[in-house]
Amino acid sequence: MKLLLATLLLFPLCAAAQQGTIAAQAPNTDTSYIDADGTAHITRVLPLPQDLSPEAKKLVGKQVSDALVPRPIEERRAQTDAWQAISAKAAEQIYPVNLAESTIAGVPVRVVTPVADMVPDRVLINLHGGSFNTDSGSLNESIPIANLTRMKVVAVLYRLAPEHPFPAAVDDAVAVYRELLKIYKPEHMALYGTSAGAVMTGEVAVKLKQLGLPLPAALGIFSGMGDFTHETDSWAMFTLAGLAGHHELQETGKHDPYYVGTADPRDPVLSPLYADLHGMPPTLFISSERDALLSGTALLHRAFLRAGDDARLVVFEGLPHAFWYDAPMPESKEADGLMARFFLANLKP
Amino acid sequence: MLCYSSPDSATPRRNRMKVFFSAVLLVACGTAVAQQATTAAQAPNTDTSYIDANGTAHITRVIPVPQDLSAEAKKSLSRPASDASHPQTLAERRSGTDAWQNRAGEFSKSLYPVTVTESTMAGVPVRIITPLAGVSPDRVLINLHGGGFNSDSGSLTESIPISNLTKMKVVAVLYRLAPEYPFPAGLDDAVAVYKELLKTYKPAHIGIYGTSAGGILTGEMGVELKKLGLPLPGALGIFSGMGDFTRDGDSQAMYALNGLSGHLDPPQPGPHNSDYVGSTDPRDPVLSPLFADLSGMPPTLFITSGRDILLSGTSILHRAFLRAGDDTASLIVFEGLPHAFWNDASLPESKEAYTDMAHWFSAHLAGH
Repeated sequence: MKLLLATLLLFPLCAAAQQGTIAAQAPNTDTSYIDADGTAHITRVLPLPQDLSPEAKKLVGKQVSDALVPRPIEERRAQTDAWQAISAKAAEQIYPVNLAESTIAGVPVRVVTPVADMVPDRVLINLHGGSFNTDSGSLNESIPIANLTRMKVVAVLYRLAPEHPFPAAVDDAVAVYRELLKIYKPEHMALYGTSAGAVMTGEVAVKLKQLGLPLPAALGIFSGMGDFTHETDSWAMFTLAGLAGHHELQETGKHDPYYVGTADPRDPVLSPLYADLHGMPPTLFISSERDALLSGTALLHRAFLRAGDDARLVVFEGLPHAFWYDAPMPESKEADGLMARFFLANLKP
Repeated sequence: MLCYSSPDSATPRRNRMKVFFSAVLLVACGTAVAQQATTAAQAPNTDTSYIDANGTAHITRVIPVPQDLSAEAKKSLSRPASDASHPQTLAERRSGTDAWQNRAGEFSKSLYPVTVTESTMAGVPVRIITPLAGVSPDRVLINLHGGGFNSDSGSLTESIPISNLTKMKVVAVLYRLAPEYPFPAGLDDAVAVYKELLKTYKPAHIGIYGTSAGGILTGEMGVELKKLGLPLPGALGIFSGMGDFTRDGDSQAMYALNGLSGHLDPPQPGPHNSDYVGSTDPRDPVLSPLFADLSGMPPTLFITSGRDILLSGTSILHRAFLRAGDDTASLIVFEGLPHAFWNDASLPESKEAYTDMAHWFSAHLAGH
């Protein structure tokens, strides 16, 4: 996954710097040409989706150059950390919580708790997004959910790629889960994450089943995927910012070498699409229409359904990948509300 | 006088697939400028993006055939298709659709054997589709076919597999069509059939579903029955539909009737499909259920696909059901396929979709 793995951002020399497209070069008509391989060569003109809130329209309509801006991993991590600190403050203003840092089973974690009336004996485990190589969500993904569910959220600060490829991060998450199992009943626990963390949520669930450990009561796979063997349709269509910004031409058979490492891309833990998914807990999938991982999320949802699981999917119109990181946006409030309602319904006494 | 865009004529069976939802394709003849087909030399070979001052995205994309699809679906998506517009008269459209539907219906029947008869119910013409054996004695499904509200592209292809798989009788309503009969004529016909069936069947044992225009009618029917104070059916199926005639969704700017192939008419601002809407307010809650109180709707399954022109419409209406507290409302999105792909019974993905639909009705009409 180039989005999750940021391959090109790590290796700027691999890509020729493309000049940003200017107005005079931009297409003004809708055209389509299907070549001999069946590849669609299209031009499209897409107005702002009218159903979006003013805040979401502002996000989607932001003018962004499509020139490639390479960023080394150190720069990327520093920027992501700085950005998350700011966006988490905005989230906390809407969703007040207590934040603490700790370690569980030797793994660093953030413990996010509601300021009052915490539901006893329940815990949610968050696996954050950030392309497996940064942390873009340990605050953004846990603050609204701890506030809305009144449950404790343990956000796992798992080891990152490329220094620590698969299965290091999965091992960290499993270690935290095992430790929490000493205190909490599995039917009182849930596991969820966004983007890379959504991918890991599926992976950890398959790993727990493989280990014969009791499964949690619910999973939340929020813009994820379960197949590292090849790219998908939405990956060819959308960037992390939807239709804005630089998009690499789709290359078949590529996958993220930094997270995958030496693992077989068809390993059923790495790529749950190849696992026996029978008996997975109730799972909520959320994606959006301009999400590069719309296909990945919808494909994994169908695999859960084929295995006979209780799996639900919600798709938000017109919005890009992981839009709920922008907590004040009305659509984010709706998404956070759906996540919280799902955990409350499935972690009942 | 109206004319109707139609896809190119290189692949007749495929062409007929494109007529399921013509609402957005209805254009006044004067504005339908004949566009020349894009050639290989004109087609973009890079991915670019320019967001203008209005937030409009101007993009080029090169999108391979999705690898997750079956061989049959890959072949279907790979067919060359001109993007020139081919205006069609309503009469041509209806006769072409009827001929295609009869052929596709026969093919569907070869895979999913059933008995098909013609009848009338409450004065409305219907097709009755029954399984060859083991018919469920006290369950019935009502199908509202697709076809852009002005033709019938589904009374056979939408009902044959579902009758076979559920072992239930399906009554496909041949409701009155636009533009001769605008809203609410088609809906009134469907309600009349439902009322008639209520004399024989318990409401909890009746399911209502449809594709495209029929998916829209299914939502309208749920709201109308609630308004009339009639008992609601046991389940609904909204298969590539929408619930808002005031404006177009994002997917209508991205996907043509056949996904990324063929001609795409850009969405126009303001209400669409005046042929069907007629003189009704586009915000009428029965016409556009997005503006209705949707609380208490029966368990509803929504199905759409990654390259569906109604991906937005379907997912927006699904979220409205969830916001109304209808927690059982469920959505399935099939990777990379165009609008109403399940009308092509030869695709393995169609078989999966039929199975999802049949499972939904079997599970939700199972009560006593």
